[in-house]
Amino acid sequence: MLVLSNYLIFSTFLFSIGLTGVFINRKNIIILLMCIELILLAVNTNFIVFSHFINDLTGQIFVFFVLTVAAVEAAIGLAILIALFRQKNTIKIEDINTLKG
Amino acid sequence: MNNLYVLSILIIFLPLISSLISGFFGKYLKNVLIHTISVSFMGFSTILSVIIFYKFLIGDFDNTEFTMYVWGNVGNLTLEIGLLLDKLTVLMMVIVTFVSFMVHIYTIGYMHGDEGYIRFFSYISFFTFSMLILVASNNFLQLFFGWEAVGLASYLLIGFWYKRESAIFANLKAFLVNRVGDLGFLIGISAILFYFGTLNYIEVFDQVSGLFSEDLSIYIFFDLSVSSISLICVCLFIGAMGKSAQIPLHVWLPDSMEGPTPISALIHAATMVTAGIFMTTRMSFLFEYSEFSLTFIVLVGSITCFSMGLLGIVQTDIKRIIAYSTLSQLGLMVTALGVSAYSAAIFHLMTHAFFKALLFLGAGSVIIAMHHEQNILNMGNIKKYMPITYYTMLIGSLALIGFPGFSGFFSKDLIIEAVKHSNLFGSKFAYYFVFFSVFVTSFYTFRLFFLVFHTHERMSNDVKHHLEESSYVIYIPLILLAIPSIFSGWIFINYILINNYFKDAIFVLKDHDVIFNISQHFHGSSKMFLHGLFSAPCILAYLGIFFAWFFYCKKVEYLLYLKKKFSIIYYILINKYGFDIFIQNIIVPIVLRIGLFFLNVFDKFIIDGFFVNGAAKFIKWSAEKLRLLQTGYLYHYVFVMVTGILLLLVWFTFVFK
Amino acid sequence: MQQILFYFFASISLIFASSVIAFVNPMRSILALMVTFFSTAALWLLLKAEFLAVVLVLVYVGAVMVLFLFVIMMLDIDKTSKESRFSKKIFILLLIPIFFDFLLIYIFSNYYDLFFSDKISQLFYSNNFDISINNVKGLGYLLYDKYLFSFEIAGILLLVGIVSSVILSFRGKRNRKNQNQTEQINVVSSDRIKLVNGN
Repeated sequence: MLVLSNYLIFSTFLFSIGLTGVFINRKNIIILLMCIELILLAVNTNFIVFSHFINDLTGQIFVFFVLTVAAVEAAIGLAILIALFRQKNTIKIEDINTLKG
Repeated sequence: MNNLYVLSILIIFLPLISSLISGFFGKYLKNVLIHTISVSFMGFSTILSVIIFYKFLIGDFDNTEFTMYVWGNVGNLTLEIGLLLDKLTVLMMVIVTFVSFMVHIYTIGYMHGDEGYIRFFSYISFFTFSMLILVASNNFLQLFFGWEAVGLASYLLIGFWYKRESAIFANLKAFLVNRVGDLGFLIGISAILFYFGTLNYIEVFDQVSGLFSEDLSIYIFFDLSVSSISLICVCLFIGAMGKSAQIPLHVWLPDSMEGPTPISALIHAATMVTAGIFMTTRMSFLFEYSEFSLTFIVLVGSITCFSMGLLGIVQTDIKRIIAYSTLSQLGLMVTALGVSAYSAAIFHLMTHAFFKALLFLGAGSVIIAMHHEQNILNMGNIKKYMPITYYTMLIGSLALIGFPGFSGFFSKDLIIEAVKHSNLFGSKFAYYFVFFSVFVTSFYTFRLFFLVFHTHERMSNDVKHHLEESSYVIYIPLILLAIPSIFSGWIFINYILINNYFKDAIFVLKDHDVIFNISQHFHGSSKMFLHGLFSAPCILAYLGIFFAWFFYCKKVEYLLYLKKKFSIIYYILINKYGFDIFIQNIIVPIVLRIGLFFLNVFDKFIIDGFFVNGAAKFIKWSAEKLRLLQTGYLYHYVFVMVTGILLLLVWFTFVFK
Repeated sequence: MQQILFYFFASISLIFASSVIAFVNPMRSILALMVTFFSTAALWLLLKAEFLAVVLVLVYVGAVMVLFLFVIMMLDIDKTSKESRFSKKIFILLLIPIFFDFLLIYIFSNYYDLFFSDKISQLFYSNNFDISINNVKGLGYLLYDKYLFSFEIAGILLLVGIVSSVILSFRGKRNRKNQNQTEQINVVSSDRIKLVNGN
């Protein structure tokens, strides 16, 4: 019998894997963007799970919009990445620190 | 009652208005208009105060207290501008306004042609206002305001001719020595606030007996304790010492003669220096409970009286001799205060105001006629040239030495009797001092008189040409002051001893009450006059006249012999007992060192360096440290964010319930 | 049956998710992410969210991940560098997500009867359509009725995304001839002239 906690723990693990990726990644911005997608995925899963278990479709509507926003954000993020690459010629995060105080 | 209120406000504020007019608009108005305004306002003020005094005397008015304006409320403490009008106040007001009026008229002649003419009128009117506020106040704070304001007026007037270096030194000296006294005064007022919780006279006086029936003490240095009422009274008296020039705070008065003669008459003879006497009398309710402070007062006063008189013998500047005479008489008044003869002290204050102002104004008349020559060794036989001045100065001198019949006789003898009758510790010692000071006073007064008016002429010829009696604006005040110098004693002593004029204003404990004891023997002024013709003090006065005549008119050679024989004493006297040397060479460097220390350590290092600059430096330092948080690396930022959220989660789960 | 499916797809998902950060070659990590998406979509199917599962695959895998692939291929990435792509403090940093996991599990366990049992479905009743009716139909009803405004906004958002992406990477025509004054002023002589032979 599948209960709520099964899915929730799965979603938690997925989220923390994405989080780990954001922390420990030093070399590639693209990996960073992908880990953000992972995090969003975990959150979406969470919504779907709850929508299933309380019989309310609103959760899925929300996922719909999150999906939209995530797609747009990925596109713009990549555009920014390209503009940045043209300036700095590197995608290592360590080299992008011009906003240093 | 409203009448009294309006009248008293007019009396006090008319001089202020005239001072403000002359001060601010004097540039645009002619001199004549300014002096007319000043003199007429002052005259009006005088007439009103005489009216009030008369009404009090016959009993139409009674002791009243008015609150003019409450300007602050701090907790239970009410800070206000108020008036307390009782017999003591109105008497002081009459004295102040009358002498001031005389001086205003006199100034028209004395300062004629001076470039600071208008400024002078403004200052003396301001001074009159401050003195009136001082005497009419009903609380300690207003008293202190008036105290400081008269000190300020004194400073401004002593240094009136500010282009003279000596005048600037003198006015600074006066102000600083005054300040030392004010420190004690302020400590006394604070102690009063601490113990009584109020600054209003009536409220304080009502509480005194209740508070000091027990033995409240303050502990200084382990076992040494001082009864707190003694501390309060001694501190208040230190203020009086500064203002009324008692030893050791007397050093400013002789130097204050740098100012023009009218102000010497007004401030340093009749009014400002008597503020200390007035204050102590007003606080009789407090002083009576502290025998320690009364003893202190008696000793200080008597020492001042005698030693300052001795100094008058060797001075050559006409104004300085009269200044030392003032110091000596102030010492006498203070001695009277010490033996609880407050009414005698005020009586002597009144008569002294008249004859001392007369003496100063007369000296001023002589100085002007001699074209600002002040050394008596260059004068002589002025009697021939200035008769009115001669006769009025004669009256003044006789009044000063206590010649029977003149006003000074009544007041001085009353004081000497009071000191004799007192059983306070130290009064015996004081009695000998004041007794012999009568001789000294008489000696130097008539030394001055004979050297200036009688002996052979020692002035240069061109000065002699212009020597004549001064204009009427100068000799009219002299005449007007001579009248009370003769009669005020005769009339007024009846009121004091028979009618007990000061009944409610002054408080004396039963066993201190010497005046009461004296009044038991008193049978009227004429009887006193007759009795006094051959009493011991008057004999001393006659002897003083005789010796002065002998040494300065008859056998001047003996003087040189005496001077050589007692050259050490002469040296001490000419150096004024070394007070000035001591202050200049020992106290001033110490104070300067302390001041420099505070400048360098506290002002520069702590306040400027640590607080002001230090705050800026601290902000800069912390900004530099905080700047390191902005590393520019995305992963650092994310890390901080996530850690923050995590901590919040932890807090919510485990701590927040 | 459902349990087996769940554990299978969940484990695939987690393994490939961790390999997204574990692979050296960025191409491989993108592909691993795609597999993650596929298996998560399968999970969503288990949860009776058919429409969204398919949308996930179509939009995310089909468009977004392909976009990622294009960008990776376009950028000149140094694939042979020997430097570690992880930070030097990796083991300390790893603690934080692990701690986060355990914290959340602990929080869940406080609501044992709600999360760990089947009771939750009986507790809620909603006005929205029961999920057992046609999923697409139900979503359609909701989307165009209650959430119409948000739907339109989402459309505008997409438009904004399009426009901004183009603007951000637009460089103008290749052979345009306009001048950059700042560059011209900051020119140094070594930029223009190179000394070849000193004779």
